[in-house]
Amino acid sequence: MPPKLETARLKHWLAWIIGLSAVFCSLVLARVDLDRMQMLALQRYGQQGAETVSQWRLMIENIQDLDDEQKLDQVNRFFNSVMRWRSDDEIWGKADYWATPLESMGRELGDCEDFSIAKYITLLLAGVDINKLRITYVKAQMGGPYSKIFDAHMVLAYYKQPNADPQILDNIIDEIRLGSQREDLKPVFGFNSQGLWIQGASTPSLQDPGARLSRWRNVLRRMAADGLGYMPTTE
Amino acid sequence: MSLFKQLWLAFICILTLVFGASFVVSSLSTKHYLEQQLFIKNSDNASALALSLSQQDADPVLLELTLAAQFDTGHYQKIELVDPEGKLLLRREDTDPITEAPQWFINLLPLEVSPGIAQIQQGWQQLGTLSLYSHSRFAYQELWKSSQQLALVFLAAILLSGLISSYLLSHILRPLGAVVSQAKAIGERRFITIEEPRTKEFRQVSRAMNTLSQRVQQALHKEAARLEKWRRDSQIDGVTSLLSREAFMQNLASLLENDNDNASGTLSLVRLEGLAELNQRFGHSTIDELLGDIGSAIRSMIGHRSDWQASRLNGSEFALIAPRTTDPESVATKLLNAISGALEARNMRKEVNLPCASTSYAYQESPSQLLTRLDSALITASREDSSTINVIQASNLPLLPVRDQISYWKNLLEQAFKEQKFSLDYYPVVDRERKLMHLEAPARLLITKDERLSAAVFLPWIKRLKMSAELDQHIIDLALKHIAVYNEALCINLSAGALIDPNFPLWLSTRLESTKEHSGNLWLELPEPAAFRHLEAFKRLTARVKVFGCKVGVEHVGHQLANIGQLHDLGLDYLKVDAFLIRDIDSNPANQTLLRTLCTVGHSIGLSVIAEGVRNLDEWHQLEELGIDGCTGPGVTKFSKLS
Repeated sequence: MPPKLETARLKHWLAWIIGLSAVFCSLVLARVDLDRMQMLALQRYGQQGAETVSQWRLMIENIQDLDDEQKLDQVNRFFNSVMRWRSDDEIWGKADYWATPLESMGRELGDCEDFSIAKYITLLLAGVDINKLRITYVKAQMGGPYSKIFDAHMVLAYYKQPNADPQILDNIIDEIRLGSQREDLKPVFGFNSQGLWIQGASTPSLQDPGARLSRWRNVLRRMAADGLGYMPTTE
Repeated sequence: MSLFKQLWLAFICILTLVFGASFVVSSLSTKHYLEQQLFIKNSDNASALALSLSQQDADPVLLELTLAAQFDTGHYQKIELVDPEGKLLLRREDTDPITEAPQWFINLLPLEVSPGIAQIQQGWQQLGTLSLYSHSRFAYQELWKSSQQLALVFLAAILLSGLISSYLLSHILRPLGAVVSQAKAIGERRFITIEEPRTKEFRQVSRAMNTLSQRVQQALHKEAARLEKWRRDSQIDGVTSLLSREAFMQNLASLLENDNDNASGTLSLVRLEGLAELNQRFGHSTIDELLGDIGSAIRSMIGHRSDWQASRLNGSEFALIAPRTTDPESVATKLLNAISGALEARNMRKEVNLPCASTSYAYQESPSQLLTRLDSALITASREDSSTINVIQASNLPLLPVRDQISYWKNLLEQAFKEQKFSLDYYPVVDRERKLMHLEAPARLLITKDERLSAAVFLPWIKRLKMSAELDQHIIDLALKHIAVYNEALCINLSAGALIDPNFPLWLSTRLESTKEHSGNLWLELPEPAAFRHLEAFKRLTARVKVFGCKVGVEHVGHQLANIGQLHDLGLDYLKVDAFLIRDIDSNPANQTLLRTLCTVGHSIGLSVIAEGVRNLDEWHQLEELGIDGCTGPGVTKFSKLS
């Protein structure tokens, strides 16, 4: 047996023992629990943060029966108005930090990926099909069609049909436009959380050490801790 | 099941449980670990592939080529590409069965790995969803190998632990064996003490039993000492510390009736002529001191020859019985030297004349005949020069030279063994209910059709010719055959010669084993002097035959009562009290007290007490009153035949 397995096994025995209880708790805790999120907002960010979360919850409830177009519009406007853009460095003192929706709403600040993640999750909660949503890395041309300034950016794309031209939710402009109309954006790679919630697990492989290594899965994991766990409407 | 086995089994069960559980946990955690690694690999590879495909302007051919290249050069089980409408665009799959691990193992521990899923897009256009499954055959190989190694290690560990635990258990439980055998011994009224084990609980138990044993031993020794004192008081002459006349005569009579090798030997008599004059010259007390000196000189001459008996018959006559000796002159010389030594020490040798007579005695001679013969010889001796020994023989005794006698007996006995001319005689021993306890079976030697020699006659020669063990084996054979036919208890006298014969114990075990069902009816007994002289050998022999249910006892008890205490840890069944203590018991209060105490002592260590040489009903009744458990002797034979 290779020696590297030994330490892994030791850790895993420990993880198994601690995990057994943790799994049991997370079965309960890691579901979508907006009350918990509300409580955490109050604890961490005070009245203002709790107020934002409360408004956010109200919005989700209100748009539940609307069609997708309207949901996109409401959610896009909500986050674009509540949060202001700051670089990760300014907010978190780190080069690249993916914040959970709670963190974003609590601080009312966010980087492009924080906007995208918050909108993505909110739309899922509002009942939008996960297969229609893609968080997409784009190369953005800043400052007009002739600008030579390009920046790494992230937006949320909504595909009404699989082959359709997607609608783009961006924090740079408030209006939702079709991908083909956004000549300033060049898509690089799109993804969603499909395939990460394995076999109906309550969180995206919470016990899996891989979850900590992947930035995307890491933020999903932290979200689960905030009260935004597995969303049964998503798949 | 023994405690050892139970503990060992429990130990092994726990070990198996522990190792089994950790085997399962370890296998599961390895499986889990491999699943995670495979899933991460799936995810990363899918993402990387999708990312690179998204960056190319991928036409279908390029897509297929890239995926095929990835599949062919990598370690994948399946790569699938599904377009946004759910139509399968491409699938590469490895369908070779997994041979790295047996199928049952794969079924037992299936690796459930989710595929890596990633989206491929071109510009804003979605091209499809990529699913990627890494091959699990290597993971199975690893899992199978590690499970095998683990199982081997655990098996070895269990075996090793089993060995260690059986060593440890035997170490821990060793004292228990000693404690159990002590308890068993006490149950059989063998009051042994053992070294206290170090284990606390065992130590407490064995300490309690040791204390019990020691108390019994102390009580026994005390009783034995008291018995000895009574014997002395009633049988010992106060002045010389030798036997009193009465006790000596009882002894002599019982010896002459003994149907064993004690029934022949020599009797010597020395008279101090001139003692009356000395008495007048030196005074009464000085002469008493002199007699005391003579007594102690004789006793130290007798020394360890416990069956020799000396007595001051009357004022000036000293007698010595030496059973089983054949040369009257040499015994008499010893006696004479002892006496004259004491006299010389007081410078009185010249004042007295020491006529001495000696004779051989034989089975069933009468004591009075014997003493008359010696008296007349003594008169002859005193007429002659002082300090000569007059050896006189009964007219019917063979006067052959010793060498001729030896060769005569040697032929006779060898012939007897060859032609199986030995037989047994049977005398009943009955219990208090007048029921038969066993038959005492002394040996007989058939000379002619009508003439049978009794044991008393040929036993001395058996002993002298060192045929004791052979004869005893022969007799035991006869006895066991008799038991097999008549199914009654039979008692055999063992000799000291057989006891110390190195081959005899083993022979006896084998013989008793071969007739296991009858062995319980065999009673074996040893004369008192032999029993105490070879106490350790006797103890070993007793333990050996007890296994087969034989009864073991000591016969002719009464001469070494002080030693009775030593019998506490032998596990004997009975004592047969010598006839000299039984004779005229109905009119001898001192012996009554002695016997009553002897019975009490015997009973306290689980011994039956049997009286030998009971001659009449008066003695018999008296003995029963004293608490005797059984009787034998001419009277018993006579009356039990009548009834």
